Amino acid sequence: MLVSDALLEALEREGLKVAFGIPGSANLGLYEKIPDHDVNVILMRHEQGAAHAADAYGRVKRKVPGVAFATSGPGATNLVTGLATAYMDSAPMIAITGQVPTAVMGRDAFQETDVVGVTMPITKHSLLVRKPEHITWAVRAAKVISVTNRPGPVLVDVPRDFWKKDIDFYWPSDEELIREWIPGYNPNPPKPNPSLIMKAAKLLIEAENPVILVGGGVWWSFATDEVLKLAEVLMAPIVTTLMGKNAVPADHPLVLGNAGMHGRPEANYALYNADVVLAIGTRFSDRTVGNFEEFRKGKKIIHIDIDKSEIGKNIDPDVGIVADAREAVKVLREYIVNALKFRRDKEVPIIKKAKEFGEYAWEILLKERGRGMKPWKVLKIVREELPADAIVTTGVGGHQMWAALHYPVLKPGTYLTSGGLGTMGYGFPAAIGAKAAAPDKPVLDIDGDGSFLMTSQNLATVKQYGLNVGVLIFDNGSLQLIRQWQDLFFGHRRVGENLAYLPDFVKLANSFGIEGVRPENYDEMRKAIRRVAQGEALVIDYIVDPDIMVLPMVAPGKVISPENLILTPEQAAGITV
Amino acid sequence: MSDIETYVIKFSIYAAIDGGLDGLARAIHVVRKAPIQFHDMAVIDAGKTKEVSLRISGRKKDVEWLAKKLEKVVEVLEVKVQKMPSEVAVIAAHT
Repeated sequence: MLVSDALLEALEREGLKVAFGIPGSANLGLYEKIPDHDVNVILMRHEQGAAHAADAYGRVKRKVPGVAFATSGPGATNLVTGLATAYMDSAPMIAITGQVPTAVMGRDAFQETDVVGVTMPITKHSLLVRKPEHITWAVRAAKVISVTNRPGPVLVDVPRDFWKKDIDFYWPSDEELIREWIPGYNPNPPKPNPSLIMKAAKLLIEAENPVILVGGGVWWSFATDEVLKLAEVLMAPIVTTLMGKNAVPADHPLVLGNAGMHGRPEANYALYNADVVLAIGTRFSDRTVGNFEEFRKGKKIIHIDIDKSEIGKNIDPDVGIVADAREAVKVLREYIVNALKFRRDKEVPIIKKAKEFGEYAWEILLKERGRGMKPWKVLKIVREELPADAIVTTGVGGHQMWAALHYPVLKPGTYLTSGGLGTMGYGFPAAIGAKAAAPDKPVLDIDGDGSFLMTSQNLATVKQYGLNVGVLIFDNGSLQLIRQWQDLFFGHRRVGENLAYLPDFVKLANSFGIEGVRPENYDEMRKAIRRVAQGEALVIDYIVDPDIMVLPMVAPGKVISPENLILTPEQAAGITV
Repeated sequence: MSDIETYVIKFSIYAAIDGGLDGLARAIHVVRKAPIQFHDMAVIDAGKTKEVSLRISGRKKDVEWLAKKLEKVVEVLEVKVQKMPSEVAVIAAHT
């Protein structure tokens, strides 16, 4: 069997039947054989988009990584941003790149880049296939590594001259794979340490105001139900990180929303004022707590994470448990309920206080400011019109923060955003990847004008493959968050934020054969969103007053305490960052 | 008193598939990002593995974090951290 056939056969056997990519001279030998296999390849218009689509596919499927194909040199380097995005958000994906032939490798051959070397710090693993007969081992290893333990992206680089080499197809067993190829890799996380579980339980039941902080790891470990059950036993509020927003349903009575720099006031209040924080599947990003030392004061921290290098990295916990989140939370709850016979019958006091603070803050925040349709009202319409299981993706910028604040996630797994790397341009190709993963669900990319422009050429892919996704562009003619930071913290010196000469997004969509609309009132917006909910591909150009800021906000470096919450632009006067 | 001390981190890299250079490069990428001071490194071929000794200085917490990060490298088999004897550290600091 040829190496190209063997690779495609391996993808089929692993259930990796959707790939996003662009052909080039170094992977044409692979593309040649695609028609003979049950692997569907979607042509993206830039490899960055292929990587984001594969990343999103993996985020939706969880145990089936998305696959991106690229050629050597620029094709491979164009994947880099997408790989780093997936790495930072622990999303499983596999990139398969063509490499120059072995005879010229290392000689600066045409379109040669050492992509394995380039991607070492931004992938969970990367490898060059050094012998043709290694191809099935490499694909199997990539799949196992990408989806087990803490998920992440894996890159497999294949020299061009290998594609047509004849090999004996060999399919290693799981045991062989681990023993012969990746003996240093343990796909199974450790079991939670019983004595640490006991310590954590004691802290939680003795706490007056425990708060559960949910990170993206809760989604990856299928821990949603266990976390909700534990919260109900403790009657403790759940707040989330930006990635954790995707992991718990916002309409659960104990969920207060996402905390952080642009977190909901009630969530920040609860998290900051907790006496015990149970953090699950989160790396305690600076964007979540603001200032590590200040946040740490006056509270006990229990940290559960599958990755032991995360325990104590940013915040030293009182109890650090290295384990799969679902397993650890389950054991913790069972110990609290069965051994300690503990169950609270009413909500912990901080919930009432947090909600009161939230009411106070929202009354200020939702005062009418600026012209035209207000972002929060538009997002309310989006939520009302999209079914609960619709998938929303976002770009990065002001619109992303508005969505974090005002778009409640009702079904876990339906909110894809670049939280760690903060990659502008993520939202649109991610929507395409999500649609490929879940063709029966409506998919909407909530994007910014600047962010959408970075990957908008993939409109062609939407049309070509009938991957009907909607795009809601928050069009304010500027890099909104940059302008906001310059206005608030850099002396109103607006430099490089003005997106002059934007295209007419309706005409841009039309030029790709896709419909576009520019709603002028809430009724028209509702009708447009309804079309997306019904499965139409549609670009919605939402004109936003550029002077409307995303608030609340906590200035960078400041802890997320109530007094640091900026509720009006005037409150930011004098803050330096 | 400074809490910076000198340590030796020893780890094995599985080298049976590719000779171990990629694993070594990946490990070096991890070391580059750690908040420690790098002194020197020795690599010995041991057949299916490469045995690496890394001499560094840093805070205990940061050195332990580095060791945990190294354990995550797919090719790395085992990581051991040893604090260097003080007299050796003094010699090391002056050579």
